[in-house]
Amino acid sequence: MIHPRRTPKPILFAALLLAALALAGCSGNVLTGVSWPGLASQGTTVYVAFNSHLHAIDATNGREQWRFPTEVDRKLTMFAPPAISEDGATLYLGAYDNHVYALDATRGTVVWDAEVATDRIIGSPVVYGDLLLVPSSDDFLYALNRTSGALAWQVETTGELWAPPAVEGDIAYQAILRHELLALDLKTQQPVWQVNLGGAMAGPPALTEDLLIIGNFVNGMRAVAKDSGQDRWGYRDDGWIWSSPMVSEGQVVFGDDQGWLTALNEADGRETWRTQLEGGITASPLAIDGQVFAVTRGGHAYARSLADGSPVWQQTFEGELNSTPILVDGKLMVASMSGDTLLRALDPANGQVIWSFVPQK
Amino acid sequence: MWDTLILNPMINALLWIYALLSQNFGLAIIMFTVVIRLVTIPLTLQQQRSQQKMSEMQNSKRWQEIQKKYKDDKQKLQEEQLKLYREVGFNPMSGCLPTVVQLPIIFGLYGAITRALASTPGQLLGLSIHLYPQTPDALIPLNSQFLWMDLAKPERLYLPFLPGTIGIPVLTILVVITTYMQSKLTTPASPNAQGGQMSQMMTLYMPLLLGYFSFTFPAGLALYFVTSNLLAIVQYAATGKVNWRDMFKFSLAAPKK
Repeated sequence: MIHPRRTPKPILFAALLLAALALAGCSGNVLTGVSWPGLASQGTTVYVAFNSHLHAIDATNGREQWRFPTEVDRKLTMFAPPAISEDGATLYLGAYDNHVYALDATRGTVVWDAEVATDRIIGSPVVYGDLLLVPSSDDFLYALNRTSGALAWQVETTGELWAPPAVEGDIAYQAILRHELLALDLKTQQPVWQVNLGGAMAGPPALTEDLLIIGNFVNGMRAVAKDSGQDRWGYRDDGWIWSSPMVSEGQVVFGDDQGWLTALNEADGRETWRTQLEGGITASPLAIDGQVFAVTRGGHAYARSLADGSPVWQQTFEGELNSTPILVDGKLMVASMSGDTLLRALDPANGQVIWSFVPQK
Repeated sequence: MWDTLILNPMINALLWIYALLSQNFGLAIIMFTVVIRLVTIPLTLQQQRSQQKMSEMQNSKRWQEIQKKYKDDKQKLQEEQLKLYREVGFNPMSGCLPTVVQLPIIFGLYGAITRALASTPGQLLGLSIHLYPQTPDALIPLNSQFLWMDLAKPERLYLPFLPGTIGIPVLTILVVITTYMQSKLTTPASPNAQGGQMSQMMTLYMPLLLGYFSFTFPAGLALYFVTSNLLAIVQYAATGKVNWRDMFKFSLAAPKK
């Protein structure tokens, strides 16, 4: 019964608290920036950037060598794979706190730390000579001095940069989330060309001898000329293509969020094979020795024949697999976005787990 | 179930409105809030009528007599109040039901706005699951700029004469003011001390609670709060019952002797 005279203060407080919790609960992970693990490697060390830590893991046995930061810093989260200097001594890590961290690759200690951007750094930094190119969600591409972290120059683009720039020579090909692909002369910081491809692009283009091949959320896969940005071919796909395609042996292989794994002829974009996997695909496939490896949000890892897409093996794991797999020490590294196990090393021949890495709390 | 019936239709409707309004997400939130308010007018009117009736009843001589007569016998007091409810044909649940029905809509609206403002890969991946095939993918990512605000982030207005790191939370201030106004203007005065105290607390705590949300959460949510509050005031004013002087009454109603 509703009784106005008998509504005590605790009930009112409880109602307000409940409303607050309900609103916060409804938001789920919407209000906290989350993404999936980013993988990189050097020698037999695998680097996994996920949430509050960058883990350095020995690929031979799955043991953690170090982690950065050693203690959880609530403001610091990271998801993009680190860039690695040519001599392998330094890692460059972009984070969601708008900072770039240069780390000693053997110990994980901070060499320098620069607050570069005014918004999250979602894409990986890229090494370019003495500079470090840093794409940011604040629409800017920054160039930092790799020794000190000092800002060398910055270029404002027409939208958020979630993808790392694909650099060849002195040209950076930068996918912009707001549908544009930019070719930027890094010497002059002037655009060479910029084209609108009609859909959001979250991953970088794949580079071939004369083409840039990139997928988006609207038009499927597109190939444009490197020198002019002009259309060369297109392949219609109804799903969202999140990552850059893998180009190998004249084939362009990519996945979409509807779970289709597709292979196209590199020269003209004609479909060579297409197969439906269980769960959406956000990661780039990986091709090794005539096989293509793909992972899905459904927790499945697949090996298919690169020639015709026929099944080789399939394994199912706990958690969403959204990260692009890499090959380290002859093992296929597969990272999971959820569940206790962050990283698994698989035998590329049969998909059997060699070791699993569960981060210590 | 929640996603299918509430969240998905709301997210897609919001995106269609965004497409129709030249891809202006601020206007889309305002228009979407207006549409939701129009749809729920019957519920709001029922709630207002119920509040009014309750207020009239509590001001009646009979009610006051019952309170006085049975002030030391809570059970008897309840029985007599129930009897009075029946006699005047008042259902105490009639004021509560519209609120309960509106809650999923409010939470759905909130969920739709926050999800549509995806600003990380994980959030955008989450949004993609809610989109209908008919919703144009070309709308992604949404343009979250509105006036001086980025609706995907907590709002601050940076003025040239203030130090660089100090921003004025304009929307938060507006949320606090309009929530206070709405609470003061649309809640009928309670004739008894405890009821009045409860109203007073609601008037104080709700603006602070929503102000906190607005200060820390994306500005799109704060824009929704402001729009919703202003519409509630306009809607109540349209019934002719609003008394603007109520806004400046701060004292608790004393129990009638």
